[in-house]
Amino acid sequence: MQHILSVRELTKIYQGVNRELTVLDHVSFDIARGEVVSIVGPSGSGKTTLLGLCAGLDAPSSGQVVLTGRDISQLSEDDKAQVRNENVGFIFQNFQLLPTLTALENVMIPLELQGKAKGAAAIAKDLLDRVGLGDRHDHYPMQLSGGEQQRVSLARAFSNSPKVLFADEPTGNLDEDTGHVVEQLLFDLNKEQGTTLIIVTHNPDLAAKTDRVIRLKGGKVVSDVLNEKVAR
Amino acid sequence: MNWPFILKTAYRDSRKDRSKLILFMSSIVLGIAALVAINSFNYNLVKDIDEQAKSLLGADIVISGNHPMTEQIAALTDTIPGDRASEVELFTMAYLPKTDDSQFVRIKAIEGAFPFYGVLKTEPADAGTQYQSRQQILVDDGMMLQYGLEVGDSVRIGGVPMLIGGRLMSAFGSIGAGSSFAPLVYITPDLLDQSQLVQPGSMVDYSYYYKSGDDFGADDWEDMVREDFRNESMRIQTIEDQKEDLDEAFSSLNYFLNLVALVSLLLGCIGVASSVMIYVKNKISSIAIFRCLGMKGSEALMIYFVQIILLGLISVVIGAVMGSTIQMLLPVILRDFLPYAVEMDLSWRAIGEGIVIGAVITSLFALVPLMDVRRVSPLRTLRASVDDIEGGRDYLKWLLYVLIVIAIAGFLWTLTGSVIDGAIFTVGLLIAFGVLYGVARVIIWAVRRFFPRRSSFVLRQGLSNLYRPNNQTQTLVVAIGLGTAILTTLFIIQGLLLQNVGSMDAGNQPNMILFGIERDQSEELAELTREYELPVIQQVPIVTMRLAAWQGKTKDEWFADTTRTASRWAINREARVTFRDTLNPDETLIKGEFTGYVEPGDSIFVSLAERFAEALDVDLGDELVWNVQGALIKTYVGSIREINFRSMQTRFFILFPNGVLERAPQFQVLVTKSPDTETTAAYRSAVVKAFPNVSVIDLGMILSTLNDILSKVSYIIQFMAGFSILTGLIVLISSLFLSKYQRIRESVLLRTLGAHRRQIMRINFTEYFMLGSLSALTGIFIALIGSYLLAKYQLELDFDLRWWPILMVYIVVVGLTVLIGLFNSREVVQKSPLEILRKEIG
Ligand SMILES: Nc1ncnc2c1ncn2[C@@H]1O[C@H](COP(=O)(O)OP(=O)(O)O)[C@@H](O)[C@H]1O
Ligand SMILES: [Mg+2]
Repeated sequence: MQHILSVRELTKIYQGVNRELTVLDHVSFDIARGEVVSIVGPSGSGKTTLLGLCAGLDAPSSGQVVLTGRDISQLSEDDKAQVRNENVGFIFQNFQLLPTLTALENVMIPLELQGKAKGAAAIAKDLLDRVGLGDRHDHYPMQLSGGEQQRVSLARAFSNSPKVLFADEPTGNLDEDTGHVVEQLLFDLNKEQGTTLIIVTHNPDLAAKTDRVIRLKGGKVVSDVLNEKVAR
Repeated sequence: MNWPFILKTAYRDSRKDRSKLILFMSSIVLGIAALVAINSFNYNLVKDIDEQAKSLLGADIVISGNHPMTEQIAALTDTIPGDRASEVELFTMAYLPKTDDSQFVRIKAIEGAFPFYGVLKTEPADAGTQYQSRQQILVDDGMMLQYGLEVGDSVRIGGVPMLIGGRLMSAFGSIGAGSSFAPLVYITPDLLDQSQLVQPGSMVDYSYYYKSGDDFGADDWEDMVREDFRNESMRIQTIEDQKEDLDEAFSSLNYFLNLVALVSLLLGCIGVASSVMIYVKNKISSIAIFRCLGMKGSEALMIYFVQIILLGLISVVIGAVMGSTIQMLLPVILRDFLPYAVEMDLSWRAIGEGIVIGAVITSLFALVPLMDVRRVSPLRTLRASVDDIEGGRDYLKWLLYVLIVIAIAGFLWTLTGSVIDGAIFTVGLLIAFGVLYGVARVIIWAVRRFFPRRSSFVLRQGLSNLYRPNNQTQTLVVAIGLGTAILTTLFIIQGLLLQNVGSMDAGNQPNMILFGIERDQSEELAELTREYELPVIQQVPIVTMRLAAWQGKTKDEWFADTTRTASRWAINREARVTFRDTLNPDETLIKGEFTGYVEPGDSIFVSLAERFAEALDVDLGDELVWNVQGALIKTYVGSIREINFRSMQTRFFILFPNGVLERAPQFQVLVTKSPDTETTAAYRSAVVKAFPNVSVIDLGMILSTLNDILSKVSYIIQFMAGFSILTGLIVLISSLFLSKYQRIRESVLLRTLGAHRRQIMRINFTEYFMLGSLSALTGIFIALIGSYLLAKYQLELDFDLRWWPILMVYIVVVGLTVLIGLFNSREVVQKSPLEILRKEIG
């Protein structure tokens, strides 16, 4: 079976003032197309670092990341950017919407980046309707609540029909109820598009809803199990 | 590259933030406005010079010297076709019976129908052409107004009554102010003869005018005979020469204006760089998102470059329009310095140049901070604490620095008109930049190294802000320091320019000089002076003579000799020599021995001023032969003196001992000091009545004229420097907005943790005070060195500093730094921390 993401012996070392800090220590795993995986672990265990490396936002100290068949540790910054644009979607803990762009324009960005300006607006509008923000197209992020911002962010993440979607603590900044709404939307959209979903979280409830849980501790994979009861 | 997307995104992204670029735009607008205004003015001036030169000269060829034309010269001028005229010019006193006043005047006696080009503007209009045949005189309009004179009144010159036939509305061939202390009076040759003012040894200038027409080829003829004329110490001037003279007369004005343009533009550049840097810093999180979503570094750069360059171009155009408007004001402000009314047209050349220079400089300086856009890490989306910019060398940025240096050097080259000057200025700027950067590093190091661990919380926080990660020390020190340095240099140079002229007004100096006194009048005149209770400070004889031979060769032999090292001015000078047996207090012997008296028949040792000895390239013991009204006197260089040129006493390059010149034809000079203007006027009238041939120069009057000019000069300088000051302010403000971005989070956090508003204010005060102080001091230090070099080597001024303007600069820069800094943190202090935290997340 072909893997959409393969991580081999991935190591990340930060150079401290007088000592090295090994944040990721020879981490390896494979993720299959369409899988829904959560990466869990205590704070400081290296989850975000791992996500950044998998998405090509950062460069590893050693090891290999193969994303959609390309070894991204070998690519230049601009090539990695292109891989991200074509294959990857993101959802962040603090939303990361562009403050100077309206909700609609934010959602259109990944498509426009690909040069697909034509149908972009239609797709973006559909997605905004889908996340329940059909009447908020022209609002700027400042005019939206946290939950609404994260929904715009969801719409943006799916707008370029990514093969992989990375989410770092997607509900970390939201209250419980709003968090549930966003979670539900995330899983629903994912199901519709058949995207591979990788969620970093320290929320056991959220992790419990995924197919597979990779547990990190002290920069090492301590367990990698398939979830028995898939409660989706 | 995906251009439609880039343009669209550039537009969208800038939509809400354009107001943040106001500082950026103002920097460009002001810089370009100054440049265009000054260049337009210069081009208009030059264009007018060409048009005006002919009528300012009044003839095709003018030959002049301080003696009448010799036989040889007359023979050489025989070939010049067309009409001729001649003129005798001298300075003397005019007595005005109507008001019992007297005035020092410049007299011109013209024979012939001069001017050939242009007209002598008079009232009544026909007086200019008729005064000669009517044996009347024309008197300067300003002087007539001053004394309430009317046409038909009479004036006594050299004791001879003369009838005023008209008012002289514009003087011919004189440039600029200064003539008001010796107003012009046109008389006729017959009247001049009657006045007997022309005596052997009196200071008279002779001019000969030729209307040769364009076909004659005045400049070729000049080239052919120039040497012969020089040997006879006569000068030839053609219309072409006149143009060059005019150019030269304006060159110092030009120099200063160019300096102002340069300063405004350089400050503008700093303003551009720092305001774009703020803009980029504000955009970093957006850029990180773009990068994360898959945008290429070059595309991100383009999105912001497009915004900047478009707004930059708009600003450049606004600046050009503003500059063209301001240039219309310049002739009004500079009116008193210009020999003719300058016609101000729109100068498309200046506008074009301004736009091109503005576009190039804006792109280059904006690109420096913009380059960082390419290197914003997408990781910032996951982790806000990641460094703004990825490390490592950015070679493109280095290339950009090289381009900037080349652009500045090129600009300075066109401005100074000399490759070497351009290079020197560029290197100077680079050194200033390096020094400031170094100082910033030293500050960071020193604060760390000598950190006052035991001091108060507030002081420790304030100081540690100087070296913490994301500190603004380097940026602010360089921007504020460079701005301060450039502005202070301008102030110092301005001060020096004004001071060097003004310093003559000091205290107990004599203020009246009487000259043209004949030997038999000297006793009586001294008597008259004492009657008015004025001191006879100096009464010295003056003998005029010329150098005939030196170091064993005659003047002609020397002129034929290619190894001659003596300067022409020293050789041809009509030397005014005095004799006495002691040195004056303002003279210092630097070589040899001063001889006060010679017995008849002994060798004569004269004393030379250092500057004259250098110009003639002679040393102790060298032989000098003088022609004293036909008699040759052989002398040797006995000593060399230095003369304090600040003193208002008459000073002599050549000093003879007693016992040689007593019998030579001579005039005397008397120096005195009058306590007030009434005494001056009364004494002057008495002198002119009793001795019509004696001229009285009132230095007080000259000084007040000078002061007049000076106040106008400083007005202009202040007007122009206003540009630079405004730009400097913008630089300061934009540099400090930069710091707002850095400090606001920390302040909010401290506030959240319960810090009192006064504590936050004090922390910020400490930081900004340190930054402002150190940058201003470094800037001032650089300015001191820079202006010292400029004064010494470029402008040849005494470097005599006034400290209070510099102190002012320091106080203003530090004050503004602290004020703007505190203004920035005001937001933190006044609003609730939550509100600001929320805003920061958005
Ligand atoms: N730039 C950095 N320099 C040094 N250490 C870092 C840096 N970024 C992260 N770390 C360290 O890496 C470890 C893992 O961080 P992170 O991946 O954010 O953990 P998590 O997301 O699981 O909470 C932490 O101990 C953190 O201190
Ligand atoms: Mg994390």
